[in-house]
Amino acid sequence: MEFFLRIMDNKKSTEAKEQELNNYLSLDYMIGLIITVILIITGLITRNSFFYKLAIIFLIITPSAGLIVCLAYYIVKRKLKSVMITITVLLILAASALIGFLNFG
Amino acid sequence: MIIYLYLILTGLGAGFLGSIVGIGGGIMIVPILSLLLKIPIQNAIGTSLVAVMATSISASRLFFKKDLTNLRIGLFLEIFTTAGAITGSILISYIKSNILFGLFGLLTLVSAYFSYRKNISSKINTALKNEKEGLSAQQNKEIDNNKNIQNTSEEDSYVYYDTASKQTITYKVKNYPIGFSTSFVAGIMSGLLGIGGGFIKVPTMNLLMNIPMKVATATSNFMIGITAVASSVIYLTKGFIIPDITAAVVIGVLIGGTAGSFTAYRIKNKYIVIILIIIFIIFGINMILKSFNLNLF
Repeated sequence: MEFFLRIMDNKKSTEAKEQELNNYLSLDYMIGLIITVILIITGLITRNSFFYKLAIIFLIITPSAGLIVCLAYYIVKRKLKSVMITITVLLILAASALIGFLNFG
Repeated sequence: MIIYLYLILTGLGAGFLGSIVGIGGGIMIVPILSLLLKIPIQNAIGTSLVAVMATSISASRLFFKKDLTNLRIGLFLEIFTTAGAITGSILISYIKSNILFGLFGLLTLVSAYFSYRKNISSKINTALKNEKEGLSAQQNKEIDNNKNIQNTSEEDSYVYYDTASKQTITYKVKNYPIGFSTSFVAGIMSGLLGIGGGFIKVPTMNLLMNIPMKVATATSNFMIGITAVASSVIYLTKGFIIPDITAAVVIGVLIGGTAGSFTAYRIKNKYIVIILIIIFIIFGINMILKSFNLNLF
């Protein structure tokens, strides 16, 4: 627990504004949304469920891509502790999916 | 064909309210789909999970633009939320759902009470006190701002620009251990019931971690999307997500979510809190009734 508290109390890494990263994430989410909407509309026009499935997959990919954007940003900015946090989230997410597959599959 | 209209309307309502109060809308979607539209519960939960993600994505996009999301806090708490989600998916085989619904309902009602006490009741008391002391609202605001700046060191403080009050708000996050543990609990609930868990995260961040309501709402929205990813993959592979139904709900959620987040940063915190309290009370009562196999809606 103390390890986590030390990370959060670090002066350099507690910068208030991360507008640049927010802009990248906003772009990522917007692209994800646009592709999803286009796929759903295509599905409506062609009456093909395949496009709906594809839209759902794109929705699932978008937040994951956001995490990768965060990771890339923190690596470029050399914010090592933030890199660690993001990698941990990605790893736990992967582990969660894996455990889910093993339990239910 | 009319069923698709209902599905879109369900998505619209859940998306709008979900993005305003920082919840994924899953708690609204599942009962409507399963109880009113008679869709099997597994499919309702699967649809809800995708809708939760859509709400998160559509609302977060705008929150990112406004720089309201505290990414650092969000990512950090997400470690515990996703860890909790794993635990929840394992625990699901051992805990009776009736007990879970009862505890969940109580927790929701307690959150409603504390949200009222902190954000509405305390403001009424302060106003009455100032009236007695002869202080104007503006003088009181200035005193509060000065106190806030004086008590906040630069080292561990965050800032955001509040569009409604046209002020830069400085806040100092505290009680991290409580944030970690409640995020873990929110993750467990998400893994068990297929919800985002925002209605636990938002009051925790706001009331216990001293994060302003708007920032808590934006950060929660960001977190919800990530939490829902893992569960959605499983539901998709198991065939619990029916593409036609889900697509209709998602269309509604996307429109409602966008409208909700435009509204969220334009209206004052008080209105968000009132909406949050009403939703908490409705869900709390419904969940407690559900623990006795009864339903409010």
